[in-house]
Amino acid sequence: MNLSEDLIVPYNEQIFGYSGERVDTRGYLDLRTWIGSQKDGREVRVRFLLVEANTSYNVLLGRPCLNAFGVIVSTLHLAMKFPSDRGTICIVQANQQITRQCYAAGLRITPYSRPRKQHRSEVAMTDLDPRTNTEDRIQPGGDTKEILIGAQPGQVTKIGGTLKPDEEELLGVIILENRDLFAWSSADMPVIHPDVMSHKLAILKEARPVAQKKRKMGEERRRAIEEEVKKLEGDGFIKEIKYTTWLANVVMVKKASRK
Amino acid sequence: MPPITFTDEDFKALDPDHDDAMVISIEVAEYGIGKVLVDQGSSVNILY
Repeated sequence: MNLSEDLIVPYNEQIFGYSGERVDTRGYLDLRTWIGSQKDGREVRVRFLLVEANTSYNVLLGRPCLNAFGVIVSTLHLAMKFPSDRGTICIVQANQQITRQCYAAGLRITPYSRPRKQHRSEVAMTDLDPRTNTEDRIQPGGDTKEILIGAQPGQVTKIGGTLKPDEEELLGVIILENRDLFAWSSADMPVIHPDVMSHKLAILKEARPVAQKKRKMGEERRRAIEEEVKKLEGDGFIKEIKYTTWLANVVMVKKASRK
Repeated sequence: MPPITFTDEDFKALDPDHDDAMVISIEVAEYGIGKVLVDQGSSVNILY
């Protein structure tokens, strides 16, 4: 219908469905409404609320309109009657065929949801970096000294270089006693019990799942991913899965060490 | 005003054994509109 937008009075209230679901309204407008046949009927100004919803109906006449016309409805007779301007009783019959078509169509259509802004498919890497403490780590003050913990030459940790000899010895003993807490590769920390930490997805049950598109990666990145995946797979961190629809794209996050 | 009564003659639909809703045609602002649901359960008139 060709409605002038000027006639629409903004109305920022929500209306409620019978189960309490909220529906947004666009506004309301008053329109001359004629019910009846060509020769006999009645015209009344009726206030309509504009609602954006997927329904099989064009208009819904509620109690305000029915009472304004003085309509008596008999669903049994699929007819309604009201007094016309001339004092006669008008009868309006419902179309059973269209009624059933609308009903059947109403069961098929999906609920209306506000059109959302299109998300960018390419997401900047830094946007997805969950780390908040991006400033440099606290560095030990003064000189540091390396002490060897593991069997390999590079497996060292750093302690302060200005400690007194007895303090240094004590610290060294404690570190060596707990050398199993140091991990030199991801293979050294293969299992984290789900009791310690477990991710939980807060999912809206009504939401429609959307599968992510496969994103193309540059050659260099692809190689880096393959390498990392192989490493983690070898260590038992991850395993291959076979359901390919619900896979998320790999998001690469640059380490602080610029690797 | 004469009383409003319904008799069997008022039923003009095809299938008398029904629980169908009331869907009629009306004219709004000189436009003929079909698929108009008469809903006595609604507290507002709605234009979709």
